[in-house]
Amino acid sequence: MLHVFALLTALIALAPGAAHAHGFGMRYDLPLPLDYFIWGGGAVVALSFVITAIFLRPHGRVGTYPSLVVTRRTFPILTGAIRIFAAFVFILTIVAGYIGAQNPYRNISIVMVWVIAWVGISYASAFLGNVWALINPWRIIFAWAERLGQRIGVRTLDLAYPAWLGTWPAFAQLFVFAWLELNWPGSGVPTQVATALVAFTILTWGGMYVFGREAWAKNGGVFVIVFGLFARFGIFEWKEGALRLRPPAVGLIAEQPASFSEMAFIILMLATVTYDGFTETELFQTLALALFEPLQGLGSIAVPIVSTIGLAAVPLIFITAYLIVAMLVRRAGGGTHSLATIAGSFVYSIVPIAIAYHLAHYLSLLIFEGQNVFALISDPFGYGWDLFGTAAYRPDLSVMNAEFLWFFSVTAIVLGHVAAVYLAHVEAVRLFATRRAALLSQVPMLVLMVGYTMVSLWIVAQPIVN
Amino acid sequence: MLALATALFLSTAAPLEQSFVTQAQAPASIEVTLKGGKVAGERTIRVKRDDEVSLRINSDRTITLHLHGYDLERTAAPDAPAIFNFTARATGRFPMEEHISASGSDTGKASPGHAPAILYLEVLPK
Repeated sequence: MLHVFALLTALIALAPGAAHAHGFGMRYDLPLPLDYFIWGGGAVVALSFVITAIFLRPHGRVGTYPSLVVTRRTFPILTGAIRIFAAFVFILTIVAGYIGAQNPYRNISIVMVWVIAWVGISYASAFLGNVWALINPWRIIFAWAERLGQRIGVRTLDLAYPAWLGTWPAFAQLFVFAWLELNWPGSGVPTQVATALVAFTILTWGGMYVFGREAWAKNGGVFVIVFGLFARFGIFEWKEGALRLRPPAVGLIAEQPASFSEMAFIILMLATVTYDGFTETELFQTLALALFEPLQGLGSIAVPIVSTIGLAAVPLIFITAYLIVAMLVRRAGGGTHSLATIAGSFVYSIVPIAIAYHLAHYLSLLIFEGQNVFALISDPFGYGWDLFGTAAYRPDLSVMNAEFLWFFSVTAIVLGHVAAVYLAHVEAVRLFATRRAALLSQVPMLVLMVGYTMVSLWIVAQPIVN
Repeated sequence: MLALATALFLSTAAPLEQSFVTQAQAPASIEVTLKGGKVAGERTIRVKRDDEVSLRINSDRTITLHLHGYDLERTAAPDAPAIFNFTARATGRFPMEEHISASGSDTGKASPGHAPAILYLEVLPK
């Protein structure tokens, strides 16, 4: 045991960011108690059977869903003001990173990037809809530049986006983003975060300049795709000239199968956030130490090597498991469709599980660390300003208690599972000719989903160690 | 499904695990001894919400300790233990870390998560 402690100390001493679990901030979550775990697990299994039983009965058309028109107005002044505000916040974040105090708690850039933007927009997308389409500052500012360019005769190159490249640019960016969030000691350093934002901006605008704004956003816009997928779970959508209200999750019914790169992206999304939670468990610490031991001769690069292996291994395992299940689904369904069609059609049904785990994982960070923004809007650079009289505000940890966090986590994970099973069934009925084939095809998928949901619950039930 | 969700809620709202401390603001006195900045044995201290916690930390070397969440900082020396007195109002699992003043930030507060936790304080619901 002492040996392990010595190694652990060495591990941490080698890289200050090695034990760093988030881009910023700490989660103070208590491990989920056993009775919540049992109830959650039981509900997952029971509800899987309930949904399957519902599907034993004949049903009408699939793939369509009811929606209610909220408004057909476009509110140009309001949306214009929101866009200007979004662009302002984006510029403020970068400027604060460079000119503000370098303490992560006294500079608005850190909370803005890791809590308000990354976690807050994920939540808003999953609960409401595609808010990112409205507030994406890279797209907004680029569109302004395009208008300016028209006047002075400068145009984007608009080269044809190569089909073989698919969404791989976004996949690569998501992997780098996850790596930075989990391993990067600079993630809490304002100047370094600002530099990362500038680098991302150059990449994004470069891509938009070469391939056109929308072509790049669709294939290389990593957050356009992440928030866009989350938003398909949301209850609002903009379709056919109207803002519509719809049931949750139905937006994930696949209109057409995802390409291989999109499929890999969705599974990477699921795998990285799971890996984030997993790194905070004792089991992970034990595994990391076992991996670290033979590598420690390499010196200071041993730690990044271990964390990179871990971050690459989890998505690889997930993608392999998913493809094996897709093969079994294909065989059970009679083999009428190609593996690409099967894998691409069912992958969207995994998204609610990713959303559920994401919500459970980050809620406390959003609620507690998010409160720092109240003080920071009054003093964004840490200069001692008090613009709105809120500079002295400190996060109140009693706004949410452990029971609520436990209840929220279990409910999110269970409901995410229910949505996933439902979506997979809709897909099965659509793809397979007979109800028998559709039902049989769902056995391997259900096993995968129950297994994954239990892993999510298990992680939430582990004490957080750093 | 709604019925099941309700059942889930009701069952979780009344945890099976009975707490043995029921009165509010029970005093909780805890003493921990650090050797070389480490606790020998159990690293997790458990108290109940609203307990009046009195946490006394002896150390064989001078060490400044930071309790995250409650944001308290005390220094322990070989002849003078650190004493943390507070009411455990917020539930959660809070790490206590060594405060390293050479962290480069301008208040000297170490960036969260960058040092190994010496111990964890779990404030459980009653």
